[in-house]
Amino acid sequence: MIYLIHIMVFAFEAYIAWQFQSSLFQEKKERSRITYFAVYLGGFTLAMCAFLSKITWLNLLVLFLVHFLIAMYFYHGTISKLLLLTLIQISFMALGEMLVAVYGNHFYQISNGKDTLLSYAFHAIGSKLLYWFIIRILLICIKGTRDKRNFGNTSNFYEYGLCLVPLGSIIIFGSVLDVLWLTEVSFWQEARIVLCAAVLVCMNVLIFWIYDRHQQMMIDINNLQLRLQGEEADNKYYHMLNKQNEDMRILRHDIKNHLLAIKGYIVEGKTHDGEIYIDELLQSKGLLTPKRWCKDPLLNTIIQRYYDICRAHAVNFSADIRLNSTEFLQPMDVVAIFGNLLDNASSAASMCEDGYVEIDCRVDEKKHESHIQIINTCSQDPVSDGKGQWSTTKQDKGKHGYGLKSVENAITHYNGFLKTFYQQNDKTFHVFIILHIITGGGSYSEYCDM
Amino acid sequence: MNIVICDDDPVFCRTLGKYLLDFFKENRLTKPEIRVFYNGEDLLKDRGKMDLAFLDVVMTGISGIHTGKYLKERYPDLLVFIVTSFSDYLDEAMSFNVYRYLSKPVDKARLYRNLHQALRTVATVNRKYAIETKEGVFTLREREIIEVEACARKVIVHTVKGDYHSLKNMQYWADTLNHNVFFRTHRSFIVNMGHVKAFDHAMVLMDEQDLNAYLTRRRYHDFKEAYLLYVASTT
Repeated sequence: MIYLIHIMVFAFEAYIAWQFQSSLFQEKKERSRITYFAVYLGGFTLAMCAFLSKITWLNLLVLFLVHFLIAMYFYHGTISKLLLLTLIQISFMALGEMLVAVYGNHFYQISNGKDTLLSYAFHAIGSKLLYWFIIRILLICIKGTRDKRNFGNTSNFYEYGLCLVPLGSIIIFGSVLDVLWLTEVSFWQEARIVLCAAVLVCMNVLIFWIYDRHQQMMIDINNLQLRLQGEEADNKYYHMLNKQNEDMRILRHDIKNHLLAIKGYIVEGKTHDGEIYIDELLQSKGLLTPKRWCKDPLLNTIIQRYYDICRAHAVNFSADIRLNSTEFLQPMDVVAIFGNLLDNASSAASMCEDGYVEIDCRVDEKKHESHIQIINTCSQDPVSDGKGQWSTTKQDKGKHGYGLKSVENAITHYNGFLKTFYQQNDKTFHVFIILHIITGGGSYSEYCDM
Repeated sequence: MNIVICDDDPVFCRTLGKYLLDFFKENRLTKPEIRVFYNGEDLLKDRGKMDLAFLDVVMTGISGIHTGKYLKERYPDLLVFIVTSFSDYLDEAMSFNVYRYLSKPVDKARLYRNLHQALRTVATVNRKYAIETKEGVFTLREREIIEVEACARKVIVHTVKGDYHSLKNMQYWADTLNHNVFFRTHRSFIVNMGHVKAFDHAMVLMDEQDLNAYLTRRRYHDFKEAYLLYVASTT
């Protein structure tokens, strides 16, 4: 019968772990519930075996490993993040055990080693219910505010530092449990233990809450920066539109004078002079037809814009956009990818002597992929921010530095890859993107990891 | 290196020819053989070897588009550069794979960059490996080799033409094969990245349905990086 209680308790613990982890983390892959059930149950069966050894520290260690390894297997997250949240989870579990053990002393003879079925059931079920209750409160508090997207893909030192709090709590809980197993304590001693436990719980809850809020704030800041960037892009667009309208207004205003001048040449019989005049007029800005770079009108406009910017800065600009290489992209993604990359490329190349920007978009029909490559010259070596990204060189850092993040966000819609590298020998910066071509109703291609 | 230029403008042909000779001279490469034609019909009559072709779009007689199409059918490895003063989008009209589009007047710096890439592509196409087997020595091109697999104390070289039981061991192949094209995903597998269809943390799927390769977890990141660099270099 006691083993039945063991099994029920550990199954319940597996369920709580699953609930907690699936609420906090993003799954790596879509898997069936049976897979999750089987792995969690298998892991907690191991934990149960460790529990049966009646060595507290071994029990805690195995529980920690089971939680941590299952989280690593199923969910996205850096090691430091998974470590911190797993330790917090274990600390709440240990707290439940400790509090029940303290009060269990009064009513049942646990500390004397006389385990009755009832005492065991009280201890096991009571501690798990308390643990579950704490976890539920936490999840309810963060419900609605949680963005499960894994922010950042490198471990942070401060997350490792925060681990000391739950780790310390677990050590304290484990030590107190060991003491409670061996000795009886007075009422006031119990009260002090409960108070300390409450303080430790509050500290862990606070750590969890602060960490969660911090993660959410970073995401909000990121979104705000992207919005600011978007507003700046809108601003530039309206300025450009205004300038175009201005050019057309000037041309319309002058057209009468031009026509009179041409009439004058015809009347005087100076047809050759008239031809030269008309040729010059045809080359004027207001009448020049923009070059057609590709089939997509939106992308065409973006490329034409950066072509004009590069030309103004004496930067050599070339674009080779092959058929069907970009037509499947959603308009917002076209703007995010090409707008940001060309903005960075043209800014960098404009600071070079004999600078150039090259875009190449091709289709690999066999793999059903689109390959986008943008190369630009640099006047100085780009600076890495130490987290696998590049630092912005633009002055107003508050508004910039989010271009590549925006591109990364866009390419996730196509199960894409982004690779950036710098070639020292010819001082060129390369951005290379692989995208899976979506056909039909806009569903993502079902590939392995590509 | 055999290069053909086809344009009805003799001045342009002379200028482009000079640029090409300057490129090979500056890079201390063997002087190429350059053949010039002024229309598509004469070019198509030529049966000489061709590695690179520079074609104008608008010519008297057969257009550059049709000329390029027939040439690609005859020489699948030929790299075709379309040189044009058209400002309109040309790829819609193309029925074959154009290597690069160049605008007139040709920008020398851009031409040189494209030639560097073209020469790397030609070198890759022409690179060959000798596979020593009990039946004899077989020579195959780099792109014909799909993967090398160690299986039951044998080393099998899987190619588009069939499987070859190599007398050499895996280490020999790991040292011999070009590291920019081949990657050792597992101690028993070396794959040609040009034949990779898809991959995950455990497996690399190849173009050919029944050929896959294991990928060890600790090599996943390196493989992904190498693969992206490979695809970028071949674009």
